[in-house]
Amino acid sequence: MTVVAKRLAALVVAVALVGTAFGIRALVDDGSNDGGGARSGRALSLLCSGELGVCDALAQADLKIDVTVAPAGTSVDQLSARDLRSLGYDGWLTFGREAEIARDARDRAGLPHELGRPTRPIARSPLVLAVWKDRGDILAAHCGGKLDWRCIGEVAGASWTSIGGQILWGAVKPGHADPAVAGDGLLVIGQAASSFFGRSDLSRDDYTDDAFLEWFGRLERSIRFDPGSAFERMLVGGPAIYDVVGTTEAEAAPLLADASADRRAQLRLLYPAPVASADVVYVPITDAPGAGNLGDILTGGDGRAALAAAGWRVDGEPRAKGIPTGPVLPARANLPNAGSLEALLETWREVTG
Amino acid sequence: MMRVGTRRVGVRRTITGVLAAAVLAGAVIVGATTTKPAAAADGCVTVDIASSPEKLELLTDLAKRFGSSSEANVKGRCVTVKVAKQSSGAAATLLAADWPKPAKNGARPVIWSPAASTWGAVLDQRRAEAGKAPYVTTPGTSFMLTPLVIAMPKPMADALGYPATPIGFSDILALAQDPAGWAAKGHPEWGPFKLGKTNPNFSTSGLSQTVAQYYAATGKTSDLTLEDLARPEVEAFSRGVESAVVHYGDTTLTFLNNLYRADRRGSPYGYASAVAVEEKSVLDYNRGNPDGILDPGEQPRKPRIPLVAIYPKEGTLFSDNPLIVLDAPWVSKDKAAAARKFSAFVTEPKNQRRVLNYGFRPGNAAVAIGKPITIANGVDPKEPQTTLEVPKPPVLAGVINEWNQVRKKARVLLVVDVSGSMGDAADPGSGATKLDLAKKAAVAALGQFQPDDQVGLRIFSTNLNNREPTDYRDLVPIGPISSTKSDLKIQIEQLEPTQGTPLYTVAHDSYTKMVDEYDPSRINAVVLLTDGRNEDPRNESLADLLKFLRTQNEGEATKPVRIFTIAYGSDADEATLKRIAESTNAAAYSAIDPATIVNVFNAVVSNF
Repeated sequence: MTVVAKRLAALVVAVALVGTAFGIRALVDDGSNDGGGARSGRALSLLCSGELGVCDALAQADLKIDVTVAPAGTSVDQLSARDLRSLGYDGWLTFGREAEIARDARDRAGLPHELGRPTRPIARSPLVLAVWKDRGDILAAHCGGKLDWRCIGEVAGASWTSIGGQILWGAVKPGHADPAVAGDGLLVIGQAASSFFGRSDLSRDDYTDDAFLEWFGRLERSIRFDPGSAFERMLVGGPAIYDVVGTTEAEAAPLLADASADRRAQLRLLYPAPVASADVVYVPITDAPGAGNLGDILTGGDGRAALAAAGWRVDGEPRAKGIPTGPVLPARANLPNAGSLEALLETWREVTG
Repeated sequence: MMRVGTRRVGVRRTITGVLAAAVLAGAVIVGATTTKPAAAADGCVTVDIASSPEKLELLTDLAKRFGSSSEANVKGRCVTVKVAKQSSGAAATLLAADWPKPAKNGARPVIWSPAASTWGAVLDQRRAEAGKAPYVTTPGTSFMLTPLVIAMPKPMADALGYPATPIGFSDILALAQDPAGWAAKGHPEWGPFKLGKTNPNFSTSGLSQTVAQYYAATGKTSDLTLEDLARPEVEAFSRGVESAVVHYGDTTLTFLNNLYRADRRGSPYGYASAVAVEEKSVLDYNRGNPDGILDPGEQPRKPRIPLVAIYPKEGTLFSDNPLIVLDAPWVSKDKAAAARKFSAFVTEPKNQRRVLNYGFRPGNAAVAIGKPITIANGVDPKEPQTTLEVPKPPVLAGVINEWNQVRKKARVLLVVDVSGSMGDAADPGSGATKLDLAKKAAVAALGQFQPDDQVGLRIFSTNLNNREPTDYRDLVPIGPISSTKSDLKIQIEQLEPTQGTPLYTVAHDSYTKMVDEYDPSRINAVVLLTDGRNEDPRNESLADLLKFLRTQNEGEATKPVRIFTIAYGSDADEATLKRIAESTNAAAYSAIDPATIVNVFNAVVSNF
């Protein structure tokens, strides 16, 4: 066989392999006829953080977006350790801090810069405390009128009777999403740490402070982490489940607005000062064929409207049911930066065992 | 970092994730019953659901409504939802093994709905231990709730001062250990305090109550540790509590049925003083439907004495009834999409109101908790006020292990029919007879007894002996199974079919023997297996037998001996066996299909 013939044969084999690969990919995609990802030209492929509450709406809208839903923490793991092009995503819609954490992790691992620069925040939402009114009043009185995470951490796990509550309320039960999994959970522990120190410019060294470790351990060990949303469990299960839960206004306010009258009368949303903000960003996958188009959709009218309808505050978009006009969001997030949150997450793992 | 919950809206992906999980000791398959599904139209996407028993009727109703709604379609294809009953523990066991033999075990489920999410963690823990990928990669939709409560006849709850006086597991369990019994509360006529609880290896309620019991023993409401379980005073407390147990079992419905029958007979206080059940069961009971299922034509009759749900002051645990869309190989993208549509459908407010009608609390906060969850019906919508923490997986496993050590011991006489019909073929494939299968099941069940349980073996058939008693023979006297096990095994394996079935005589005499040798520190019981009906012309009066058994079981000074019956094969006289069991406040089991006898034997032994 001549060299040319060999090269031709090799080319044929290569083409066949590529074809086979696409065939296998189609099988992996369950033989469906609606997918194919951006390469097919029929759909854009979005990785979407489920905690945002907007992923299903994006999938169901007539936007030709193929949406994979995963918690932000899970996605950070995935995006921090792989050749992103093999995953087939065009972009990622997530929390700003999670995007930075993933990019930093890739840098540290020496991986190619396939995770693009996040957009400016498309949507924002203040972090809130949801608390049962009767229990919140007792807590606030104990806290000198100021109910914040620092005070909650001081009484977490203690008997309600020790601070003036009722015996049947059991122990003081705070709650938030699992920070190792959920982006809002990570932001809430950032807010809690900021509350303890009275500032948000925290460093890794701050988290070695003995008083902080004792306080943080008491707070986090008193929390029951179950899959799914802590606020939804609180709302559905009543005060038996949690006494006070930290989450985003985007999650809590619309659900509360739709809840039964008795639940609305029993629960209150508080905005601990200084107000902290969860920000939503879009992260393009570098060189992904649909990254630009996807970004245009998500930062354009359709994406912004979907986020606003899901409870996020989006400039120029009407607010969803239950979202109040105040408080005004700060210019900055008022939360520790991404590196600091990563360090805090390590501390969280240590104190919760 | 923990990785959970990836799902693709549009394209299915393989996920590898690990859930924080609980470990339970081996749950046993108790039998799957498929409801009559509506015929699936050609081309429809079929969503099979494995549901825990207590919500079978509700889910079947919702499935039917969904099927006729405009939401039952995926990409233009209709969707058919089929619901099959499978206890939570049994389904976890099957899923851990990749759901083998669908022809026998029922269709592989797309949605799994155990009583509580804990079972999802149990499943993936078991799969992880076996090196398998998890099936529960996305949290289930918790579509309704019901808390664990302590159910008591209202006068008994009144005697304890409830609800003005908060009552907890610790109070109930202290009363259970008080030798004065109800006399300590001014009611000597109610006798000793008797506790009903299910076997935590089988039952979600049983598991929850056992956890609560260990919290009460330690004085904690969270952070239970293995060290706590090993403390001598904790073990002593638990052993004392277990001593008040009437018997165990695989389902709380046995207790409620027995309590209801006792109530109808006018003696509701003798059988059990308190039973840990789900709140929903209290509502069903007070409606006159203790097992929660109305057979065609059955009219509910309210009990004379209603039950009251006590919400323990230490807190309780919820059954959250998740609809888990499994990440299993047999769940295609279309099936998963259809399953999510069904999950969304059942959480719609109009369907959540149906949930309420069945006695569950809605899983959608848009629907307020209302009727029938009212004080007038024995339950309180404002309770519970707090919950107990579900222990971490190793501790949960430790709770089960400790319970196996301290549970009330049993004294059991196995009474096996060796009449001629037991020689009939049961399995055309292997040629095995009914007796062959029963022997195999009985030998397997011996392994479930604890070493200091006492077990004996009696066989019966007409004219077994030349002299009295002519109709039965004790092959192995009752003794500690640690010493009788090998003899029991040999004797069981040597059984041969003989003549007729002297059912009434052997039931009477076996019961009498156990009463004569009654041991108050143990569960005293007869397990009676038969494939036929009474064939003894010398003793044909069922009425006399039932009257004798009932009389023996009533009054506070009785020696409660239970006869658990197993109707074996299609010729068994199920109705009669049920009446015999019920007259002793026990339970009747059915193995009409001889192939199910192993599972049925396991369920029977769960009572001990």
